[in-house]
Amino acid sequence: MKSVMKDLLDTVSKPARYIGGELNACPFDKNARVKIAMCFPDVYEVGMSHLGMKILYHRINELDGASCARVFTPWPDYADALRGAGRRLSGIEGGLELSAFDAVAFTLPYEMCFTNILETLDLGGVPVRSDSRSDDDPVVIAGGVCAFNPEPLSPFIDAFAIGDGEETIVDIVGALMNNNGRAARLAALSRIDGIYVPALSSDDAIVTKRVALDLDKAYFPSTNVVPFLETIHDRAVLEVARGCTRGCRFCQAGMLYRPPRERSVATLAAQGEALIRSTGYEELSLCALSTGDYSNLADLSAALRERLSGLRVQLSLPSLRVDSGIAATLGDAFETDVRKSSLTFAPEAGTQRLRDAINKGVTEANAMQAVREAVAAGVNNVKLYFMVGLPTETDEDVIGIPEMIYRMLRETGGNRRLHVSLSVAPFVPKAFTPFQWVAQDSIDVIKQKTHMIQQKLPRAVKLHWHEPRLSRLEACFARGDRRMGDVLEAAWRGGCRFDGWTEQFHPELWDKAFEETGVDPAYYANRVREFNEQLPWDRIDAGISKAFLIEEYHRALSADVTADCRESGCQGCGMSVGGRCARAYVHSV
Amino acid sequence: MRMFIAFEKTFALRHIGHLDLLRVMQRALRRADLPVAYSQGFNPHMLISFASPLPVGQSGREELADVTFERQLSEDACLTALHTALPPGLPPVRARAVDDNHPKLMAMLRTASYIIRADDARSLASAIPAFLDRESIPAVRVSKSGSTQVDIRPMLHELKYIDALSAFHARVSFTERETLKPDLLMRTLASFAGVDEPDLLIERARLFGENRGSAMPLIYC
Repeated sequence: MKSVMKDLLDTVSKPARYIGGELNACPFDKNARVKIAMCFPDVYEVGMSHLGMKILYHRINELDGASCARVFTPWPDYADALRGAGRRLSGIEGGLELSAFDAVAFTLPYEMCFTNILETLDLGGVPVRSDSRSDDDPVVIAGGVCAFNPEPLSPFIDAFAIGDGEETIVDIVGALMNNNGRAARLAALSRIDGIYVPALSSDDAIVTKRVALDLDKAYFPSTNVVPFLETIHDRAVLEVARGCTRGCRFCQAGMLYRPPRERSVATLAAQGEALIRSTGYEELSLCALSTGDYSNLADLSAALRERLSGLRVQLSLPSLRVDSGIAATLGDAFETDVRKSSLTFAPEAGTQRLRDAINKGVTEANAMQAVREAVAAGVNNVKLYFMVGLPTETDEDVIGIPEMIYRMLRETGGNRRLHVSLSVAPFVPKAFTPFQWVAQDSIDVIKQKTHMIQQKLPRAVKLHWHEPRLSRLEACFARGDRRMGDVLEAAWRGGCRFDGWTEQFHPELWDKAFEETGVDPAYYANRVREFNEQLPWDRIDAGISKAFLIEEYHRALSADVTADCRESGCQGCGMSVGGRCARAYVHSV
Repeated sequence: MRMFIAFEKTFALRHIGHLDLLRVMQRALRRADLPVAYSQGFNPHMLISFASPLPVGQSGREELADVTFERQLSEDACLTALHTALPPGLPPVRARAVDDNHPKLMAMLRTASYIIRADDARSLASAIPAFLDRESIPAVRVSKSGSTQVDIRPMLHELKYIDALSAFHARVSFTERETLKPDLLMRTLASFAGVDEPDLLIERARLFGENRGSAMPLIYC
């Protein structure tokens, strides 16, 4: 006879993922009028590093009458243990099973976590398909970057929140509080700006993304939960800016998060100090799509250092562009990659022509200088990120990758202690980018290109390359429609979950799911779309005009560069708020 | 100055590992704004150490940390500050100020007492008298490098079943040279009693040093 006194957590790996009780975690109020389960469709260590989760968790818990519990997708061992014991997944705080919440909300950070959404709902006792839910079941909501193409998930998600969530969530809580039952609640949600309810939306209705224009006034938590487990980014996070207008043509975040907005130095200094004092973290990370573009880094650095003096806090700048020149001027003030003796650097393409075609404003001279300076400063690890399969790419561009690495090694004088590693990912075309119409390379072509790189690469350079079958799947969902939802459900029922984790990815199960549903992945991944084709995400207005995207596509074909509007004036992307170019709202300090 | 700090690590917190605990303590000390001393050198770290890491899954009633402070600090002030700075599952229970040259907790540690809950406790309990009467108790210690035969009798100082708790109480050796793990003890008792290997729930009740030949709670050593 086996014991009844041990709990399931004694039998699983990393039980600390599921226990909660961390410092600054919010107590759960079972009697709250609106109870929301905030779910991250991946493991705890990843979800607890996600800025959107931090913001929304505290935002909801500070609202009167609302209470929010966190949920992370259980790793397969715990999921199987729950099913084996006939138990349901519940919120970390309060122990309420998912089916008993008013709303179950997901953030959608990347496509390869989609099976985990179905897995999480099912473990929590919520029917996975919207049309199988009864009036007592919770409303299932999703937001985040993948909500901009909601179609593949629309059979499972009742309401999508498009755009910045810190204001929308207040409206969502209000709609849930003032209405009872799923039907009434969905109707109320569908009337909120930025909310798309597939079941209630007419075919020609357009949903416009929400934008928190003034970040100084936008909600930002004065504290973070301090995890017991070491998370991916185990530090306090201060969001200094949102949006980027560099205009890299492959970059979805750069298009979706326009306009660029900044928080003021005074706000950031106060928020940074509050975070450090309430968490005890030893590192404060300044976060943005491109931190080096913050208009006043020198003043911000000085203000934070004054506020935090004597507290032994390291400031870090994680997303620095090599061409920003910040590393050299502020190297003493910040913990940059340079001080950590490694340099991470993403030229993305191997020739200047192709870098111009994708509008990645990095020149060979920038790259060589960055590497030279880094090595002179004692860096001995250089990590390089490239893509293959970019539009207009030729063999010359592919061979250009190892050739560029050769020149870099020469530049550093054959330093034997220098370790160079190269990461090559197949290009995945995304919605709302100038490349949303292009075909992804077939798996065979990607393999050939990787082989070309491998053959020409100096032996000392370590090559990591993304599984091309995973990249194709990502492409299918990134530009998929509702039929991809059927594929998703078939794959999950066939046993797929945590597909983004190499050891959990089963391409043969996905092949079977495509076969069962009669869907051809090439239709989504490897087909050129016409400009006049109706796209699954056309019902969403992300602010950028289609005309601008088409213009940018043509400029890519002729390798014409488009400048950053913050430096060279309006480029006509169409992002406007109330008829004004949204750049007008950039916070000036 | 140095401070011995006793704290509980019970309920769900038994699932967190030693390195996790170390990070939590460091961050709590920072948040409490206590004048913790740091090591010199290029990569300064907090001067904090623990009597003994607790295995994941075991709870502890009186775990001990040793923290060095830059300035004098009262035991009460330290406890009060830590009380709000530590998460709810890790309450500090006692503090004792000691001199800088006081021996390290780890060096003074001799024995540890445990409260152990097990399946089929009655049959195990009835085997205890005969078990303790033996002059030597051979046991097989299994580790990554293989299994070795050891005599656990000299490392077993107390073992009894407490009816009121429906649990076993054991005090065993806990030094660098001789350590008897409570799960090995219970496994050996089970095989002696002729019952199946039981599932265990283990709580480390207290750590002991020695004073004139008898056990003394480590925090007072």
